Amino acid sequence: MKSILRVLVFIIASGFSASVNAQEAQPMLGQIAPSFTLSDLNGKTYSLEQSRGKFVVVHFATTWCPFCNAEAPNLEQLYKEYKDKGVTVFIIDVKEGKELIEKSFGRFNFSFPVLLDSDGKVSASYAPAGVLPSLQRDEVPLASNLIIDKDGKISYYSLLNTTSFDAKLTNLKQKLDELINVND
Amino acid sequence: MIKWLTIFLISTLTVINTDEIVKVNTQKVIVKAGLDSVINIAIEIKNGYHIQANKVENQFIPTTLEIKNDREITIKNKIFPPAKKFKLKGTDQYLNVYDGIFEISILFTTKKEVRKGLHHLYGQLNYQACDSMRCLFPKSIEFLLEVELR
Repeated sequence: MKSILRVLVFIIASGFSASVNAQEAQPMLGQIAPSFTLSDLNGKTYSLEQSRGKFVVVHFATTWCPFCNAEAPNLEQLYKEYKDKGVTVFIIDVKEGKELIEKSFGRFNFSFPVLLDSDGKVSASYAPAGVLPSLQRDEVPLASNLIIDKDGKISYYSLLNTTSFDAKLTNLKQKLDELINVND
Repeated sequence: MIKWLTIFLISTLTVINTDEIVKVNTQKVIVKAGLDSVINIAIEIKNGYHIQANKVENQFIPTTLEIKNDREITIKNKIFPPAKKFKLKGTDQYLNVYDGIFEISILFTTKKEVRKGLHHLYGQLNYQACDSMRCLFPKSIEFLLEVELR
């Protein structure tokens, strides 16, 4: 009887530990990034596949998201610093209209495309399975940053790695530098 | 000067409407017909979360409260508490937010000639919540306010 109890306690503890680790780790690392084809504010279409051979920084945003607004000027700065190093940047706006996005994000004068994920399906495809199950799938990646490498694999995902909010994108830049240096 | 008077504020009944993040607690109010009165509703925010305050910068979504008038009860004003300041880590930015438990006061007036008894006012709290890591889509909670006119 005691040995059965021990086994049960071990199984429960292992499950709990795995769950905690899953919450702490960067999710989906090494996985092929879900593909997307989306239009920007000017109606031009962009796909992830078109960016193969480049490092792609993706930021999921909404106009009302304080974290996204705080990061926005730093994303523009990052793009300017890294665009000649084979890095492209997309903001994927989740479930908002073109006019609102233009009005709200216009003040940032982004040099890179803001893509419209009007139905939230692309955002939902980036929600790691089993993470934050109480949330809608398309709200899980909000305010997250990803780096997708030249082969289309996820190399960085800030989703649950935000013990302190990285508004200045320090960690993201550090990872980009590592990737660029390895590929040089 | 508007003279309003709460005749009774009896906590005989507490109604709680809730979702994952926000609870709306209401109490039945008993009022003498023809007088002004006030209902306080208590909003409880889940620990670790905050919602945007009633007055925020343009790009953010404020907390708002909608109350539909009853034929014999008219809403005159809604008073939100002062906001707290929430600092976005790694930035110099502060947000106006509510967290913990706070009250919204709803001032209303009643007609002299009314149908005596229990009246229901339909309410809806609109809010946008965040924690220290992420923000959630704007949501609404519907609830009923009970006003007994005597």
